[in-house]
Amino acid sequence: MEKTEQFTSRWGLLLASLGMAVGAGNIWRFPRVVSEHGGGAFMIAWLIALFCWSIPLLMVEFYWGKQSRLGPTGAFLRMTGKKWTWAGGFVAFCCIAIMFYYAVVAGWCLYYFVQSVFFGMDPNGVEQRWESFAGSGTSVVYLAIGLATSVGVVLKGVKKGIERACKILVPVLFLLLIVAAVRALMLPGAQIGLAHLFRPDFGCLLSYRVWLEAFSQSAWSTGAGWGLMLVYAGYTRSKEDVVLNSFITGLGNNTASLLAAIAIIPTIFALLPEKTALELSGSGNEGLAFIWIPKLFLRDNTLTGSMMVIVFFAGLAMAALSSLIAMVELGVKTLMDLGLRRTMSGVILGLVGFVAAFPSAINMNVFKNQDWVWGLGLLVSGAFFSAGAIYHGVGRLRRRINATTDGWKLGGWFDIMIVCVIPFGIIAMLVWWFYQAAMWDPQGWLSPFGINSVGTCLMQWGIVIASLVCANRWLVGRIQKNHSHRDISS
Amino acid sequence: MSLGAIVIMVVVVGLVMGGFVCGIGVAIRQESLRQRDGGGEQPQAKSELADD
Repeated sequence: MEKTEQFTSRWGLLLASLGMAVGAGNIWRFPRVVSEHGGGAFMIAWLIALFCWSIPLLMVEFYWGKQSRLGPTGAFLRMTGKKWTWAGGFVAFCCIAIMFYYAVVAGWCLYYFVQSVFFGMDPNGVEQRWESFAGSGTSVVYLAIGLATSVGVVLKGVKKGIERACKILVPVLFLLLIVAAVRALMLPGAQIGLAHLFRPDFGCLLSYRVWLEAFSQSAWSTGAGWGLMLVYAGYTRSKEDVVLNSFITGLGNNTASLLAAIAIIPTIFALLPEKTALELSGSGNEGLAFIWIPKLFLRDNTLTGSMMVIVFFAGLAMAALSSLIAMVELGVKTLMDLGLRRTMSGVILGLVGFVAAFPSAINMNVFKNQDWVWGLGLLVSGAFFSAGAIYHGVGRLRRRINATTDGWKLGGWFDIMIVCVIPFGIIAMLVWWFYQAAMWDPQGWLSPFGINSVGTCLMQWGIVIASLVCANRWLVGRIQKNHSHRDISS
Repeated sequence: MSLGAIVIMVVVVGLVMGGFVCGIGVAIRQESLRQRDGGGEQPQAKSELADD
């Protein structure tokens, strides 16, 4: 059996955690959502979501990872007992399913980065470029490149692979975001966009929709409840500070989101008439990133515009790759818990990942369906962590976090978040998104074969949960056999 | 920009980016104290729960 590796230092862990949390969603989703839902008022709800939802869940994951040194399935076995091991399996499956289509996104980002650096982009042809690229053979090639790169990094191990890659990717990503934000603020007319971004539209705070969007953004963006922090925490010192590291990860993720919004929204308002800018800032994720941003930056055919496109796509590609690496590591760790070696786990995951991602790469409907099903599945994963923490005893969990941490200590507020706020938030968000699905398609919302239907979620989650419950005894047996010397729950 | 927008910008940016930078600062201080107190726990070849 292979030795358990560790990050060489706290900085290695923090950079890897930031790389995990900061993804394409920070750059392409947050600016759009904040612009659409009240600007400054939305940010208040988003900040509350960070402290009430994301950071407490990150702390649970961090502690479970540090204590168990296993992937999500093993951690659930260790922390909640044999009966609930399947719940950890669902957390792992959900993240691996996201990895399958996220690898496609990473491929898109790499393709646009390569195009902007080596071939240049024609501002008049960006729409045609996107239409001919999405779903094409070229997107499959770039999917393979993105996936192979991430698997290659993970195969090198924690120190020589993940830590070394994140020590380059994450600082460069933050630098690129700062450069883009400063450049955006120097544009004449940028203050109109800045005013729009931070507008004090407090009436929005009375809308439940704004709160649900803010909590959804925070849940998806920080990586809380994905199991990724759990995996990285398994490679830390035994006295590593759970509280401070979780705060730094959450705040660092939101810093990246803010920088991206400051880079994008003022640029749009500086370069376009206000009415067009308002329409554009609310356009869809892919539309904003791959059509409007290049169109906008390249509009006047200047060197600065070309440089900004390169900076934007370099940032997007780095954010996507650093998150994809974390997802691949989660998959590899899950297979390693079942007794496979790192190399074999990586090769299997890479091959299965490519085959499973292929439909999403060639068909946007499959991509959208998987994004819908497993994006919402993350809320279920968050619910399992919260339920596991309650089952474990929240007060006991908090005391144990404090006892095994050298630095900051947790207060009683943590109990309230885990027991009240997170379960209520999960139920509210699931009901809200299902209600949205019913509104989008009143006839077919229960269809198991709809793209964004309630039925497709229930069917896919149901199949996975039923399979994992049936395999529960096998999972427990495999993990116990491979980690029999550890204090695995019996 | 309105006064309200400026206030929100200062509060949000201050809290998020300020909190992030301060968090890093506290972590640096913790690490230097740990080093001063004898290096703390060095990265282990094997963790306390590590396998064979």
